[in-house]
Amino acid sequence: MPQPAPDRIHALELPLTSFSLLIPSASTAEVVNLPHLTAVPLGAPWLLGVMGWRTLAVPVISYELLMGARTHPAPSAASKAVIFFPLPGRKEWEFFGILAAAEPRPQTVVASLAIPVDAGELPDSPYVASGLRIEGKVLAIPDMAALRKAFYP
Amino acid sequence: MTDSGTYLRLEIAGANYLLPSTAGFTIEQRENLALNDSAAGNIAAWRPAKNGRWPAYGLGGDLRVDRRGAWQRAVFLDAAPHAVGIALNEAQLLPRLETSVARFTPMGPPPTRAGHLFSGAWLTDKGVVLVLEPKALIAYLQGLGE
Repeated sequence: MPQPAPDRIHALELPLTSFSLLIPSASTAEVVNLPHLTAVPLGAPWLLGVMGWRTLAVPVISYELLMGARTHPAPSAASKAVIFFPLPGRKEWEFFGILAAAEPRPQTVVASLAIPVDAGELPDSPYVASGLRIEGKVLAIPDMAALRKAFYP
Repeated sequence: MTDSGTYLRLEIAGANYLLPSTAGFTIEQRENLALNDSAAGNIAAWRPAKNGRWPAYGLGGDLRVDRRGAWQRAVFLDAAPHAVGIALNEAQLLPRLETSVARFTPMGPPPTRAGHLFSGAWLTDKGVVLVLEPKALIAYLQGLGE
Protein backbone atom coordinates (compact mmCIF):
# COMPACT_ATOMS: atom_id res chain seq x y z
CA MET A 1 0.00 0.00 0.00
CA PRO A 2 1.63 3.29 -1.04
CA GLN A 3 2.49 5.77 1.66
CA PRO A 4 0.27 8.87 1.60
CA ALA A 5 2.10 11.98 0.52
CA PRO A 6 2.93 14.22 3.49
CA ASP A 7 0.90 17.38 3.86
CA ARG A 8 2.92 20.28 2.67
CA ILE A 9 2.34 23.96 2.30
CA HIS A 10 4.26 26.20 -0.03
CA ALA A 11 5.23 29.23 1.97
CA LEU A 12 7.45 32.26 1.88
CA GLU A 13 9.95 33.25 4.52
CA LEU A 14 9.64 37.03 4.71
CA PRO A 15 12.70 38.48 6.46
CA LEU A 16 12.16 41.49 8.68
CA THR A 17 14.87 43.38 10.51
CA SER A 18 14.96 41.21 13.63
CA PHE A 19 12.97 38.09 12.77
CA SER A 20 11.15 36.47 9.87
CA LEU A 21 7.53 35.83 9.02
CA LEU A 22 6.20 32.66 7.45
CA ILE A 23 3.51 33.44 4.90
CA PRO A 24 1.48 31.07 2.70
CA SER A 25 2.65 31.63 -0.85
CA ALA A 26 -0.96 31.62 -2.01
CA SER A 27 -1.57 34.86 -0.10
CA THR A 28 1.13 36.76 -1.97
CA ALA A 29 0.71 38.27 -5.42
CA GLU A 30 4.23 39.40 -6.16
CA VAL A 31 7.58 40.39 -4.67
CA VAL A 32 8.92 43.60 -6.14
CA ASN A 33 11.84 45.91 -5.72
CA LEU A 34 10.89 48.69 -3.36
CA PRO A 35 10.00 51.81 -5.33
CA HIS A 36 9.72 55.29 -3.92
CA LEU A 37 6.89 55.33 -1.42
CA THR A 38 4.62 58.35 -1.24
CA ALA A 39 3.94 59.22 2.38
CA VAL A 40 0.31 59.25 3.51
CA PRO A 41 -0.08 62.35 5.70
CA LEU A 42 -1.69 61.82 9.08
CA GLY A 43 -1.62 58.08 8.48
CA ALA A 44 -0.80 55.35 10.97
CA PRO A 45 2.90 55.36 11.97
CA TRP A 46 3.33 51.85 10.57
CA LEU A 47 1.99 52.90 7.17
CA LEU A 48 5.23 53.65 5.34
CA GLY A 49 3.53 54.95 2.26
CA VAL A 50 1.79 54.02 -0.95
CA MET A 51 3.26 52.71 -4.18
CA GLY A 52 1.96 52.23 -7.66
CA TRP A 53 1.75 48.54 -8.62
CA ARG A 54 0.29 47.57 -11.97
CA THR A 55 -2.79 49.85 -12.09
CA LEU A 56 -3.30 49.93 -8.34
CA ALA A 57 -2.29 52.11 -5.42
CA VAL A 58 -0.87 49.73 -2.81
CA PRO A 59 -0.18 50.78 0.78
CA VAL A 60 3.04 49.37 2.24
CA ILE A 61 3.47 48.76 5.94
CA SER A 62 6.27 48.07 8.37
CA TYR A 63 5.45 44.96 10.37
CA GLU A 64 7.98 46.00 12.99
CA LEU A 65 6.34 49.37 13.55
CA LEU A 66 2.92 47.71 13.60
CA MET A 67 4.20 45.49 16.41
CA GLY A 68 5.25 48.53 18.38
CA ALA A 69 8.85 49.18 17.45
CA ARG A 70 9.69 52.82 17.98
CA THR A 71 11.80 53.18 14.90
CA HIS A 72 12.34 51.41 11.66
CA PRO A 73 15.62 51.43 9.77
CA ALA A 74 15.51 53.07 6.40
CA PRO A 75 14.96 50.63 3.55
CA SER A 76 18.12 49.45 1.84
CA ALA A 77 18.90 48.44 -1.69
CA ALA A 78 18.09 44.86 -0.67
CA SER A 79 14.60 45.74 0.60
CA LYS A 80 11.59 44.31 -1.16
CA ALA A 81 7.87 44.94 -1.08
CA VAL A 82 5.83 41.76 -0.74
CA ILE A 83 2.42 42.40 -2.28
CA PHE A 84 -0.45 40.52 -0.67
CA PHE A 85 -3.86 39.74 -2.09
CA PRO A 86 -6.72 41.55 -0.35
CA LEU A 87 -7.70 40.17 3.03
CA PRO A 88 -11.00 38.26 3.29
CA GLY A 89 -14.00 40.53 3.03
CA ARG A 90 -12.09 43.43 1.51
CA LYS A 91 -12.46 44.96 -1.93
CA GLU A 92 -10.81 43.26 -4.88
CA TRP A 93 -8.41 46.20 -5.34
CA GLU A 94 -7.28 46.40 -1.70
CA PHE A 95 -3.91 44.74 -2.12
CA PHE A 96 -1.35 45.70 0.49
CA GLY A 97 2.40 45.38 0.88
CA ILE A 98 4.74 44.44 3.71
CA LEU A 99 8.29 45.74 3.64
CA ALA A 100 10.84 42.92 3.67
CA ALA A 101 14.44 43.56 4.68
CA ALA A 102 15.69 41.23 1.96
CA GLU A 103 14.49 38.89 -0.77
CA PRO A 104 11.92 36.43 0.65
CA ARG A 105 12.84 32.73 0.48
CA PRO A 106 10.51 29.97 -0.60
CA GLN A 107 9.85 27.45 2.13
CA THR A 108 8.02 24.16 1.80
CA VAL A 109 6.46 23.39 5.15
CA VAL A 110 5.91 19.69 5.68
CA ALA A 111 3.29 19.16 8.36
CA SER A 112 4.95 16.12 9.87
CA LEU A 113 8.30 17.86 10.10
CA ALA A 114 7.27 21.34 11.21
CA ILE A 115 8.04 21.94 14.88
CA PRO A 116 5.70 24.35 16.71
CA VAL A 117 7.51 26.96 18.72
CA ASP A 118 6.72 27.94 22.30
CA ALA A 119 5.18 31.37 22.72
CA GLY A 120 8.21 32.40 24.72
CA GLU A 121 10.39 32.17 21.64
CA LEU A 122 8.15 34.46 19.60
CA PRO A 123 7.75 38.23 19.63
CA ASP A 124 5.08 39.17 22.13
CA SER A 125 2.51 40.76 19.85
CA PRO A 126 -1.15 40.33 18.91
CA TYR A 127 0.04 40.32 15.29
CA VAL A 128 1.92 37.04 15.74
CA ALA A 129 -0.38 34.04 15.88
CA SER A 130 2.18 31.28 16.34
CA GLY A 131 5.51 30.09 15.03
CA LEU A 132 7.36 27.17 13.53
CA ARG A 133 10.95 26.06 13.72
CA ILE A 134 12.22 25.25 10.24
CA GLU A 135 15.83 24.30 9.59
CA GLY A 136 16.66 25.47 13.08
CA LYS A 137 15.17 28.91 12.52
CA VAL A 138 12.11 30.31 14.27
CA LEU A 139 9.58 31.80 11.85
CA ALA A 140 6.57 33.75 13.11
CA ILE A 141 3.16 33.24 11.58
CA PRO A 142 1.12 36.45 11.33
CA ASP A 143 -2.33 36.70 12.85
CA MET A 144 -4.24 37.75 9.74
CA ALA A 145 -7.45 38.45 11.65
CA ALA A 146 -5.57 40.88 13.89
CA LEU A 147 -3.97 42.46 10.84
CA ARG A 148 -7.37 42.99 9.28
CA LYS A 149 -8.63 44.74 12.40
CA ALA A 150 -5.58 46.99 12.51
CA PHE A 151 -5.67 47.81 8.80
CA TYR A 152 -9.41 48.44 8.55
CA PRO A 153 -10.76 49.36 12.02
CA MET B 1 -11.18 50.57 -10.81
CA THR B 2 -10.10 53.95 -12.18
CA ASP B 3 -11.90 57.24 -12.43
CA SER B 4 -11.19 59.81 -15.11
CA GLY B 5 -12.83 62.80 -13.44
CA THR B 6 -11.59 66.37 -13.33
CA TYR B 7 -9.21 67.35 -10.60
CA LEU B 8 -7.56 70.42 -9.16
CA ARG B 9 -3.88 69.89 -8.47
CA LEU B 10 -2.80 71.58 -5.25
CA GLU B 11 0.81 72.29 -4.48
CA ILE B 12 1.20 72.73 -0.73
CA ALA B 13 4.73 73.45 0.47
CA GLY B 14 6.20 71.45 -2.36
CA ALA B 15 3.87 68.45 -2.05
CA ASN B 16 1.18 67.71 -4.62
CA TYR B 17 -2.38 66.56 -4.00
CA LEU B 18 -5.49 66.31 -6.12
CA LEU B 19 -8.89 67.67 -5.16
CA PRO B 20 -11.91 66.36 -7.07
CA SER B 21 -13.61 69.11 -9.00
CA THR B 22 -16.92 67.84 -7.60
CA ALA B 23 -15.93 69.56 -4.36
CA GLY B 24 -17.15 73.13 -4.50
CA PHE B 25 -14.21 75.47 -4.19
CA THR B 26 -13.00 79.01 -4.79
CA ILE B 27 -9.46 80.12 -5.46
CA GLU B 28 -8.28 83.50 -4.19
CA GLN B 29 -5.00 85.27 -4.77
CA ARG B 30 -2.96 86.26 -1.76
CA GLU B 31 -3.42 89.98 -2.38
CA ASN B 32 -7.19 89.61 -2.00
CA LEU B 33 -6.88 88.10 1.47
CA ALA B 34 -6.39 89.63 4.90
CA LEU B 35 -3.11 88.24 6.17
CA ASN B 36 -2.66 87.04 9.74
CA ASP B 37 0.15 89.28 10.91
CA SER B 38 0.49 87.40 14.16
CA ALA B 39 2.94 84.52 14.22
CA ALA B 40 0.61 82.70 16.58
CA GLY B 41 -2.27 80.50 15.45
CA ASN B 42 -2.93 78.17 12.58
CA ILE B 43 -4.55 80.59 10.17
CA ALA B 44 -2.45 82.18 7.45
CA ALA B 45 -5.10 84.57 6.16
CA TRP B 46 -8.81 85.28 5.92
CA ARG B 47 -11.11 85.90 3.00
CA PRO B 48 -13.65 88.57 3.81
CA ALA B 49 -17.22 87.39 3.28
CA LYS B 50 -20.70 88.84 3.71
CA ASN B 51 -21.35 86.83 6.86
CA GLY B 52 -17.90 87.07 8.37
CA ARG B 53 -14.58 85.78 7.16
CA TRP B 54 -13.26 82.46 5.91
CA PRO B 55 -9.97 81.10 7.31
CA ALA B 56 -7.17 79.79 5.14
CA TYR B 57 -4.82 77.52 7.08
CA GLY B 58 -1.08 77.39 6.62
CA LEU B 59 -0.04 73.77 6.14
CA GLY B 60 3.17 71.96 5.40
CA GLY B 61 3.59 69.35 2.73
CA ASP B 62 2.52 66.74 5.28
CA LEU B 63 -0.73 68.67 5.82
CA ARG B 64 0.18 69.51 9.41
CA VAL B 65 -0.03 73.13 10.48
CA ASP B 66 3.03 75.02 9.34
CA ARG B 67 2.89 78.69 8.59
CA ARG B 68 6.52 79.11 7.65
CA GLY B 69 6.13 78.41 3.96
CA ALA B 70 5.59 81.01 1.27
CA TRP B 71 2.25 80.89 -0.49
CA GLN B 72 0.62 82.76 -3.32
CA ARG B 73 -3.03 81.82 -3.19
CA ALA B 74 -5.64 79.93 -1.21
CA VAL B 75 -8.28 77.41 -2.14
CA PHE B 76 -11.51 77.58 -0.12
CA LEU B 77 -13.82 74.58 0.07
CA ASP B 78 -17.57 75.08 0.35
CA ALA B 79 -18.58 74.03 3.85
CA ALA B 80 -21.03 74.73 6.62
CA PRO B 81 -21.24 77.03 8.47
CA HIS B 82 -18.66 78.71 6.21
CA ALA B 83 -15.94 77.88 3.74
CA VAL B 84 -12.51 76.79 4.95
CA GLY B 85 -9.30 77.06 3.01
CA ILE B 86 -5.67 76.16 2.60
CA ALA B 87 -2.90 78.58 1.73
CA LEU B 88 -0.86 77.09 -1.07
CA ASN B 89 1.59 77.75 -3.87
CA GLU B 90 -0.27 76.54 -6.87
CA ALA B 91 -3.70 75.35 -7.90
CA GLN B 92 -4.09 73.94 -11.39
CA LEU B 93 -7.11 72.36 -13.01
CA LEU B 94 -5.95 69.22 -14.78
CA PRO B 95 -7.44 68.09 -18.07
CA ARG B 96 -9.75 65.12 -17.68
CA LEU B 97 -7.69 62.79 -19.86
CA GLU B 98 -4.51 63.47 -17.87
CA THR B 99 -5.79 62.02 -14.66
CA SER B 100 -6.84 58.44 -14.23
CA VAL B 101 -7.28 57.87 -10.53
CA ALA B 102 -7.16 54.51 -8.79
CA ARG B 103 -9.15 53.84 -5.67
CA PHE B 104 -7.14 53.80 -2.47
CA THR B 105 -7.96 52.90 1.11
CA PRO B 106 -5.53 54.32 3.64
CA MET B 107 -4.94 51.87 6.44
CA GLY B 108 -5.38 52.36 10.13
CA PRO B 109 -7.70 54.60 12.09
CA PRO B 110 -9.04 57.59 10.14
CA PRO B 111 -7.62 60.92 11.31
CA THR B 112 -10.91 62.84 11.03
CA ARG B 113 -14.48 62.39 12.19
CA ALA B 114 -15.43 62.23 8.51
CA GLY B 115 -13.06 59.40 7.74
CA HIS B 116 -9.77 59.15 5.89
CA LEU B 117 -8.24 62.16 4.19
CA PHE B 118 -7.65 60.32 0.93
CA SER B 119 -9.90 58.27 -1.29
CA GLY B 120 -7.80 57.76 -4.37
CA ALA B 121 -4.39 57.92 -5.93
CA TRP B 122 -3.17 59.17 -9.27
CA LEU B 123 -0.43 56.89 -10.52
CA THR B 124 2.09 58.82 -12.60
CA ASP B 125 5.47 57.90 -13.95
CA LYS B 126 6.97 60.15 -11.28
CA GLY B 127 5.14 58.49 -8.41
CA VAL B 128 1.82 58.56 -6.65
CA VAL B 129 -0.26 61.70 -6.05
CA LEU B 130 -2.92 61.25 -3.41
CA VAL B 131 -6.50 62.40 -3.97
CA LEU B 132 -8.10 64.27 -1.11
CA GLU B 133 -11.54 63.32 0.16
CA PRO B 134 -13.30 66.71 0.41
CA LYS B 135 -15.55 65.96 3.38
CA ALA B 136 -12.67 64.60 5.42
CA LEU B 137 -10.45 67.52 4.43
CA ILE B 138 -13.12 69.98 5.54
CA ALA B 139 -13.53 68.14 8.85
CA TYR B 140 -9.77 68.21 9.34
CA LEU B 141 -9.47 71.92 8.63
CA GLN B 142 -12.46 72.75 10.81
CA GLY B 143 -10.78 70.84 13.60
CA LEU B 144 -7.68 73.02 13.45
CA GLY B 145 -9.41 75.93 15.10
CA GLU B 146 -7.80 79.34 15.35
